[in-house]
Amino acid sequence: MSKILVSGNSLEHINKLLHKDIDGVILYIDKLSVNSNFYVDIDMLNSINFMNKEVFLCVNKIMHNSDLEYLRYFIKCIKDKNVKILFYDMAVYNICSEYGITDKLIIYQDHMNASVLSNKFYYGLGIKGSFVTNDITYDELMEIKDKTNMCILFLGYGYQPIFYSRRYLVSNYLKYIGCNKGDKYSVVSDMGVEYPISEEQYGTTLYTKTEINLINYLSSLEKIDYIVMNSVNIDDDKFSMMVDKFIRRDKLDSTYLGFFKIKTIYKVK
Amino acid sequence: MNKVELLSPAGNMEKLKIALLYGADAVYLGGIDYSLRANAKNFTLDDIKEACEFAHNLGKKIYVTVNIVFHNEDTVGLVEYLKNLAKYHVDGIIVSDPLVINIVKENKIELPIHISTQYSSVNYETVNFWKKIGVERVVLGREVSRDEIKEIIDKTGMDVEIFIHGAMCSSYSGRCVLSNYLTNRDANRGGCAQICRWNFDLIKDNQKIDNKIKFTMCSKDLCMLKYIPDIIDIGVCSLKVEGRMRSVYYIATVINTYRRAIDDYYNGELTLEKYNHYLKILNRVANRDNVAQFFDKFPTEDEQYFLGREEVSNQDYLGMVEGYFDGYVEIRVKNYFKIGDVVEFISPKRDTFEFKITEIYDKDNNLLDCARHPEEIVRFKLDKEVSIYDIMRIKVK
Repeated sequence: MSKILVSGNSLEHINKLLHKDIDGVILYIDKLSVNSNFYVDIDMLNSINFMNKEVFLCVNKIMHNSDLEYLRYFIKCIKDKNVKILFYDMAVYNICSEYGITDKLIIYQDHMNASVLSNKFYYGLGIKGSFVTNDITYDELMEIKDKTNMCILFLGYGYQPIFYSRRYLVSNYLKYIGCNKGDKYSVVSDMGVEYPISEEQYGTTLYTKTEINLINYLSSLEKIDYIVMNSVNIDDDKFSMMVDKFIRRDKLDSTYLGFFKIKTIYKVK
Repeated sequence: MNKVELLSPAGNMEKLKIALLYGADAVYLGGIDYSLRANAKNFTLDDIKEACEFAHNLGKKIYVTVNIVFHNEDTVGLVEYLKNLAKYHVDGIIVSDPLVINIVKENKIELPIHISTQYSSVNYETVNFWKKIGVERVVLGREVSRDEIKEIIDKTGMDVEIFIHGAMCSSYSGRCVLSNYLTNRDANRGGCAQICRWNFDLIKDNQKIDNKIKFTMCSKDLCMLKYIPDIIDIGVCSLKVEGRMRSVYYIATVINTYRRAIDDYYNGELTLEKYNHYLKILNRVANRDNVAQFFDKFPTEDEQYFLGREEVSNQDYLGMVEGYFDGYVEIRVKNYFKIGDVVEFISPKRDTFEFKITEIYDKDNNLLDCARHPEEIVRFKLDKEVSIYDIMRIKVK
């Protein structure tokens, strides 16, 4: 049976979630990660009682030169801890390989790692885990699981980032039209579909129209090592309730599946 | 120090030849499969073979994009394809999915590998990683500044390629799947529908912003002409122009202009006057505003579009030279021109010159007052010799 990993929206939220029958938590690291409601620094990390749950640290930022000194410091600080590291940028791999801790690494590239052979490439580097993109179908996912030795993570619940820019797109627009900033944003397409958009220190992210929710398919995902539940854009109570449903393996009437059952087309002629 | 490479896109064989003749040192192109820009005409293996022969005869290079993010089904036939590219002596492949690196190594295929901008390599540790595993060149992400590029080159010694001209992804390349989720077209497998150029309503704190100017993620195009000396001085090895879908005229003009600017700089002849003239030419051929984006400062609202796409097509491209016989030039008409117009001939072989048209004849030798039918062949007397593939355009003032 798959283990359940969750992220949270605050320290308080994380502490509450740790009291549930989950298997581990994902913590987004301040200055080194993006697309979260909540970031921790090294001091906070050291202060949390994880109650013997597994700990996954997310450093999914695309790193620029100016990030590398702190990234190296961070890796040095956590190299002896019993944690896994979710990462996007191969700079993280390069530094971790210097410390001989590539077995802690889980490749997590949102959209760039979508096949058996891509995962074999990363496995060949000593990377033992892969948080596989939700841009693929169930069949493609299972083929990756069956044909690689990777420990597989897959988003079972939450908003999927579908666009990430280094630019401050919301602020730029508001400034251009002379409008004050707000706290929470979304964009609406011509078809009337609304997509959450958020702007952080390191840029702008647009998310799926609603949460991907694979709760009705948990039994067919049992071979997947970890089902991830991501709290970004979801309020604490709603998220906590859904965590309980996932733990109980409840069924729901209808949920958004993304590309779980649909292939994308790419030739449009 | 090696002279910097000017690298042009080529969406088909005609554009490839034009790019190389007009001054590109190398061309990048996509095959029928495994390449982004699924909507470009793209090249069959036979085309690629012909392209390599054409380029190599000129002492120039061909790079082939194998830059999709592969799904399991996409890898079928890939080994044979890569072997064929090696057989035709392709000078490098541009990849974003590292599985291609494994395939090349495991099958001992002799193809230099360039990492695509799709991978968003924007720091020296990442570039060092690619170097360690045998990659020959990295195309940096477009989000890097001048100082970042210099630091990457200084600390890695890697061959670094950057984009200098053309359209920009608003996102980090590869980190956008808007097309997938809004149109079911896979952005990372060649189906990008350019959703970042769509207009949206912005909802702020649950209230729609009521403004005639809509929210968009659209960025202005890139133009680095001003920084060519600096880019060369910091050691960038290849300067890439975007646009496999662009026209023959666009390719000829942009490549020829950068060719001249680069050569002028190496020869100590890039004066302010010349720079201003080159900039005018680039601005005329562009269909959107262009700026330096991340190179010289962090982009703000000034580097974005908020008033629609503002794409303006111009009629500068008047015709392509089909031949020159007995003092008469034969022109394939592209846009309207008439007797009395002052035009320019641009050429890969000689300096641009201007000419006032005093007569125009059709193929049956009938005197015309103007050329109005696209693709019609017309001819007129021209006292300077021109060659096939020379281009006639409106005089750039």
